[in-house]
Amino acid sequence: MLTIDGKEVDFKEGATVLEVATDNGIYIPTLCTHSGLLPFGACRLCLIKIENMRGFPPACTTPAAEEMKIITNDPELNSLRKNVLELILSEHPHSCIICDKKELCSYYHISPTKSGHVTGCAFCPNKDRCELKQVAEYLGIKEIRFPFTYKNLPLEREDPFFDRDYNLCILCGRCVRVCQEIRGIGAISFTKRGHDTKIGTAFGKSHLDGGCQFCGACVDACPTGALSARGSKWHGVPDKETTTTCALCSVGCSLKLETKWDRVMAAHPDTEGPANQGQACVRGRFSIPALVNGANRLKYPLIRRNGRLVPATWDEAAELAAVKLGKYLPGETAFLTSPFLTNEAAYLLQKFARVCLVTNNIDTASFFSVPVIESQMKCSGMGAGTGTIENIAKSGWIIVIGDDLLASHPVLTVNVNQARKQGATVSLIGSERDINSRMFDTCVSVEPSGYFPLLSGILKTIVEKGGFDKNFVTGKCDDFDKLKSSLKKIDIKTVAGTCGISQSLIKKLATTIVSSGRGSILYGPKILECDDPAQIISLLFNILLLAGSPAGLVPLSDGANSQGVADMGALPNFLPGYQHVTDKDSLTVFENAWSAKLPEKPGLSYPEILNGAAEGSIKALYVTGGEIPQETSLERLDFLVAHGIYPSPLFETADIVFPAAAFTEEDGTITSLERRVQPLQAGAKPVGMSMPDWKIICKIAEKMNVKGFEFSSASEVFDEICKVNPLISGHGIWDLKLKDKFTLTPVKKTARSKKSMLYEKPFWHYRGVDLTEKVSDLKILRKKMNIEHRTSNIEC
Amino acid sequence: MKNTIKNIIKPYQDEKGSLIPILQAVQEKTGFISEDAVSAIALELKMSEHEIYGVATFYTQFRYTKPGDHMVKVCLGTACHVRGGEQLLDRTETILNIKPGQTTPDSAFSLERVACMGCCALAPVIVVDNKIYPNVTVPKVEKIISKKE
Repeated sequence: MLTIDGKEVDFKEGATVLEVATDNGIYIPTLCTHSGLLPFGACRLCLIKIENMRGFPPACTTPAAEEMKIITNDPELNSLRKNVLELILSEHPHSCIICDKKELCSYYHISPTKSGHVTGCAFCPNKDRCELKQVAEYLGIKEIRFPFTYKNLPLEREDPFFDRDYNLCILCGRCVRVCQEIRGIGAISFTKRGHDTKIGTAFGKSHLDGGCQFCGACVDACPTGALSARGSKWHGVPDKETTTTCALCSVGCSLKLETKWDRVMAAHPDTEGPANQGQACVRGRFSIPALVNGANRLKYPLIRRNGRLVPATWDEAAELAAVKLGKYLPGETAFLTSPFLTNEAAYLLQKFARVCLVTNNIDTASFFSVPVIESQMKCSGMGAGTGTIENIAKSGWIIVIGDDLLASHPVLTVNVNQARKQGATVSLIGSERDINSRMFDTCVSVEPSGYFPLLSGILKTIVEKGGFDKNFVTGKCDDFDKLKSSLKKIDIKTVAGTCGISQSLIKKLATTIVSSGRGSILYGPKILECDDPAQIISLLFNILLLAGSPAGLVPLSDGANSQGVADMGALPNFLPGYQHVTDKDSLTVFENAWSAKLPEKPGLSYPEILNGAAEGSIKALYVTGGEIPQETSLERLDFLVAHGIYPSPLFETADIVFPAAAFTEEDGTITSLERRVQPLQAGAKPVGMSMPDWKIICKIAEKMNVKGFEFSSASEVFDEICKVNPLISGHGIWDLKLKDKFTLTPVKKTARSKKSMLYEKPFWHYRGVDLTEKVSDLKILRKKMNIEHRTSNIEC
Repeated sequence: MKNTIKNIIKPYQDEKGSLIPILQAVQEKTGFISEDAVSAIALELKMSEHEIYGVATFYTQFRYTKPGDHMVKVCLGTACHVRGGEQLLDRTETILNIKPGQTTPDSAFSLERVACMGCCALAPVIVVDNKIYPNVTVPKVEKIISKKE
């Protein structure tokens, strides 16, 4: 209990006076405090009076204590704060803050266009959201009594994505701290001291050379206009803000889309986002407007006439698709789902395939393919990982395997960094490139072919040395003996030789795992390059079980909605909710729900479909994304339907092209890698005549006169999903219902039974559209980070 | 450079807060803090190079360019300032054609301005390679420097 402005209030142990005040609705002006950052005490604006304490302590760095008597506002404090702010403003161009024509100016308003009316003196891009101005207005500053010093520093524009004008900087240090404390990058720092202090890099390097990831956290933290996003800085106040979920990777960051003139002009992270907590990455923060507003977006349906694709009306195109698709036998048609589709679209697409065309030939063009899903089902009972993002941050040890985390899922590094700050040991099993990364304590450079021997070596060391979670293993795991005996043949020395690493490194990894409590393993698409990806996943799960942390398996899926698309049953052998198509009971349930006869035999998988298309056994193909290996020959296809947001090589052979809405233009839901179902909300209308994918499917079904596709909104589709899919009951993480008993899988070296095919796709893509093609600055960053393509190995 | 840094860091391994002694040791050994040295230290300590640079530039004791063969220090402490230190610095800058903190292109001289050498009775002073020249006048500057060339 303490007294603040005469009010008696309770407080949490460890809270600062500023936090107590804010919690009780008392405003204390401050410029350097920022959510998630440690107290810093740089701006000296939150000075307060505390009884029996000397001087004026800053509220942000003073811990609250019992019986404190605090005064947060009186004339003396106000004049002190005014003085401090005047000093700050004596080095910050302030005509817009103290101008006596300010009111008039805001009436005429700044305008980013070269319009004929008065636009005010706009030399700072942050004019309409300036925190400095807000504080100055609160304190009632009308003049600055000190002479003004302009620092005369050159504008820094040589780096991609954002501009820096340190003449506007007030040295609050938010950018430095957010980069270091939260992102764990430390790409900027205070340099020099006194009057010469400036935020900068070592030896004045460019941000690009200095290892900046361009996540934009500093830009969002800046209270002034010193840091500003180049693409959107002059747009002023947006017309509206929409909270949606980013569909560029599977982390599921909440973003706020800023719409102006009916276009999405900018996006910034939502501080309330459950997965990202106010963080984003270069793709979500800076790339969305350029991606969705490209000039050559598809605007109307196209149909092939006399060998050329020509514009058509929706009715014409849908009618043609309905007539043509209806002609083929069930085994002759196939569907490829993009892992970037919404749950609604994926659900309707598989329903369309199964109900209208009576085929199970539907698969997702994603890392999240049948072998991975089946292997995960063995581990967790469902086709999903067991871990959550929150769990990563609480882990005692973390292993990242088979992906370039900093490039593929940058926001997860925030949680990894959080765990590391609390003492977790973070290890990387991956490529040479990351060896020098500060993010990892131990780095093992091993090619994917070495994953199997390395992991079985680690497993053997753990089992033999003991020290693992015996209570958990004996109480909750079956088949420990089988695992133990299967490890007999493995020789650590040979393992070390094959992987080209030292035996002590294997021991070190094993010791970390058994001695650091609960852990998390993040595994990425590179495991597909191994001979037996399924075996790798069970090895990883074995390791987690031995450490007593079954809820630690996190798939770094490559598509934004890989998880959701699989949950929705866009798979050849599973109905929605991972119910096997050969299971008579569940089939009957769906037959009743959809009032249709459903196919009973599992369909063809992704590689089989591609093979069938090349050989001619598949006659009609329906593709909803551009994620098709370029090497696939589609010439023997009789009929090809494609959804797209941009023209793609697929269109050379497509017979009908439907323009799809981008994720910023549609409502719906997507499911992140931690099984979190989150809403998409349209920030703008679909471009031209384009439509959300689910609507396109409904339109074709309507033309085929099939019932069960009469939906007027995405939420109606979601309601049906909740009815038929036992996993999904609404937004939020769907419950895995982990079993009480787990099975340890014996280690068995298996050779790849089938021929496999390597193909490349862009590392950063959205429905097959290379992001770097649309966002030129991203190309510069990709080059610097030395990431070219993602290779996928698919069996055929 | 990597090996030099490794050897320098060895005694400080696993010791928190040893960045400044490491930087001092590096400067002692190589004469200045180079870009390579900073990245090597960053790698060893798993710190960001920018953070290290930020710490180093806070202190005036570190330099970032290779020092010349001769170090010329011009004192601008109170006593020297009053007795014309500013003109001596001006003259030295003109002769060497560099600013304080810089090194001549032939790496013969480095110039620095210092705040007090503790011998105010001799003001104004110039210190070349730790030798103190007392009661310097503007014409004397050229002689002092040409002696070293």
